[in-house]
Amino acid sequence: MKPDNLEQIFHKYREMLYRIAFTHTKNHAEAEDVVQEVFVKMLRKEPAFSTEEHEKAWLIRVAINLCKDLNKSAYNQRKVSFDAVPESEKTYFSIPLIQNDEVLWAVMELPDKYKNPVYLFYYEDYSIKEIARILGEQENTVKTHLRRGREALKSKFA
Amino acid sequence: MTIRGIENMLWNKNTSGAASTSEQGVEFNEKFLGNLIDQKDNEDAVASRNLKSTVSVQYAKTTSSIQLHDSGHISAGVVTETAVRHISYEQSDKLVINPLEGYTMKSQVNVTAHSVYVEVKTETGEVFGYEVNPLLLDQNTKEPVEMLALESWEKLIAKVDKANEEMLEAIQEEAENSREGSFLGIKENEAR
Repeated sequence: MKPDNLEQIFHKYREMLYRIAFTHTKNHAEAEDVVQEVFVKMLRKEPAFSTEEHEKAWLIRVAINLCKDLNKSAYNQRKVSFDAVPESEKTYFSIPLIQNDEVLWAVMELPDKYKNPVYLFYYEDYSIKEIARILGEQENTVKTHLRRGREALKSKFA
Repeated sequence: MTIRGIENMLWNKNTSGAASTSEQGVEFNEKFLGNLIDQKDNEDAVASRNLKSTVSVQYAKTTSSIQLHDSGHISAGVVTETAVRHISYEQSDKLVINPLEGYTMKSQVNVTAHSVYVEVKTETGEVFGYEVNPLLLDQNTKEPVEMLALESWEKLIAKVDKANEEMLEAIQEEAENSREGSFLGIKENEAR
């Protein structure tokens, strides 16, 4: 991969990948580490992409997998819930045009299988088809997880 | 209203009498639209909900609706279904994200056309597009699509008003303090 191409891709996806990583790590420094690691993997593997969508899907999938690995580590298993995350840490997370509110933080608290589709569908505006491709799941599975994720959110705010 | 309500909010859906081809659509438009413009100016938008019948015309992938009221006059619809444009969040003037109810809505204002495009994505992944005339909306509407259109319109109009005000102030200031042609960066003798 040409260095100038990497720079272009880095600037294009960095923020989006950071937000996705943050929803998993709930920690600014770790989210940044994940983003860096995604691009290191890209440089090492030099994957070939047929389309831009393919490229984006690959980056998101790698980021989510890295977050899962990170959360499995001994250190992260001791981690507290998002409610206990300091306010200063929350200020690092922002989505352009979207107001951070308690619903968004509640989305971050959902189990991964609901959090990923709900976050990508509502906050990053991906279609069900795209999410299915990114997460390697059937479209119907994504729809079911979206519905259950919403039900979980509703019960939290009931 | 729930998102199911939004899905059902296909106001002015085609009736059996609607023309279905472009040719028929043009003929229909020519026949009715001339009178429509005059009569629309006089209508009371809020009272226009009281419809006797509704006729829609499919033309060039968009739906323009024409409504026949109890009073006998004809008007264009406040909200009509239109072709989905798939606008991004960045292209939107306003966003509503509601994971609790299971939908997202985006709006895009067209000031010159007096129109707000609203795109609704439901939890099942279906996307609907609506064209809203903000000037005919009920200010107290509780419909999510109409509320978003109204808020988007008012937000943008406020921006335009502010920009106009600032420009006017700048013009007045220049007129009082500077020479002619200064806005264009030309010298006084060239301006003459």
